[in-house]
Amino acid sequence: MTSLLDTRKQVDGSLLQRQVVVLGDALYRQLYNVPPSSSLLLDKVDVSKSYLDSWLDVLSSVPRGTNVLMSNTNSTIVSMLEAELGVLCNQAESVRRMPFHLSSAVLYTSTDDDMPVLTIVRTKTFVFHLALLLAVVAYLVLFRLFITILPF
Amino acid sequence: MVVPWETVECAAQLEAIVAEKGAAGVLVVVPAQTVQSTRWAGVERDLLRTSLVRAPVFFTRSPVLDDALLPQGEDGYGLFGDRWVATQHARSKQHRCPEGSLTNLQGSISPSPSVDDRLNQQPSGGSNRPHRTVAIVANYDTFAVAPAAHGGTKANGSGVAALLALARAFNHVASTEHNYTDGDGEEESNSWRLLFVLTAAGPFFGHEGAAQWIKAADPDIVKSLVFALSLDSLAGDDRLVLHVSHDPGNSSGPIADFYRRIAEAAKLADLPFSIDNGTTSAAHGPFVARKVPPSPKKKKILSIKLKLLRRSRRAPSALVNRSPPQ
Repeated sequence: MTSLLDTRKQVDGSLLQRQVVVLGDALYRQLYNVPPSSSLLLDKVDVSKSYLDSWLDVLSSVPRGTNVLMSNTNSTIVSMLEAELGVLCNQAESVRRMPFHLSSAVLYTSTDDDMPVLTIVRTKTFVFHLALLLAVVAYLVLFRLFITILPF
Repeated sequence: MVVPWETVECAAQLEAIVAEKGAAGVLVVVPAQTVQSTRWAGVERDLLRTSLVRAPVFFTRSPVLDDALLPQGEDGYGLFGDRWVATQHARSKQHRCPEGSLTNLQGSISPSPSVDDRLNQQPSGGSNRPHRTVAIVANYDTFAVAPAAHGGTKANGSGVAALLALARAFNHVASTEHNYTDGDGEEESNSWRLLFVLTAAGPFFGHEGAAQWIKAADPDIVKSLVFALSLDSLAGDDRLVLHVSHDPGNSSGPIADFYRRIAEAAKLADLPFSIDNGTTSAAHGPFVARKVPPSPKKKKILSIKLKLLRRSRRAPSALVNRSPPQ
């Protein structure tokens, strides 16, 4: 769960850039089996702070609550992310939208569309219902055995 | 009646005020400046999970109210203008959301084939050599008490921005560097693929989006996964916390190599670094739960168990066939 206090000011773009450089450096060395050296591979893994900042600005200003996304399958943020991945990913078949239905919860919203309201009701899983069924059956079998075996 | 927001400890306290004053509503002016408050996070959780407060609760970042109630000179408010947002309350009439679908996004980057590879390419197109795939996963949706009024910059806008920046960096790497082949040029020694996965239904839903991606993804891609790396809530503080599909301390092979490499890089960048070994705290949770990719150590243990099983099965026949001592 995110908080209303989780605003743009919570994230320092410079620190995020340093962290992404470290991740990128380690990934590059992993993929190309590059031995350790005394410096980061900044010429190989170029991470732009302005690029990170601009995406942080966008992501902070576009509502992307789960129910907002559910009620609008063509949401702006999903289209933007898809377009960006399309530009960055070089595999022809690679960028895929993979829609799915939420099975673990049911979302409710208010009748007034101007005021997005969210209530969530967690639903039990299939495994829970199966376990409950087995427990009930086991109980009934034991009860039946208890009745039939005991000589009343 | 004005109550300083930092004095509110729980939703029950809000309800007590509403009951005492007979209030028709509660207006929360969210501070725009950088504030850390675990207490307020608890109030938000209460409001989200219960219908305790019988009056509607409104939130605002209105510049006018900010100027009136907050110290002067603070800027940065107005992310959402003067939009007013209400949270749930007991008297509200609600209806079930339409069965809309959520969307995972997947993209991948591989190095462009070398000249030799192009010459040797199969007529059907594409090299058939297997890729070693590393999945980088981040959830892009948010979940909070007022869905339209929170930025979710740290959780998990930071992870999404980092994922895109990595994709951008490796797009450049892939276009400038080719795969390596070994001495005889037959076996590719370094064919990799970076898989970028943006998932919906994040932490509050047990990362169901990541679980759904594993279900729906191409089995060949899932099989080729070396490890999955989840980017979650970065740059909140100095420490880089990494979420990986295996505990590097108990693993060997690529994940242990990656752990060593990232420790080296973090040391070079003078960045504190730690590993999250939790199984469900980030998008790597479903990968851990579904054993994707399978742990190399467990594979080894399984093969040892199978060998022992075979030996124990052979043992009785060996005893039967043994000729009695003369």
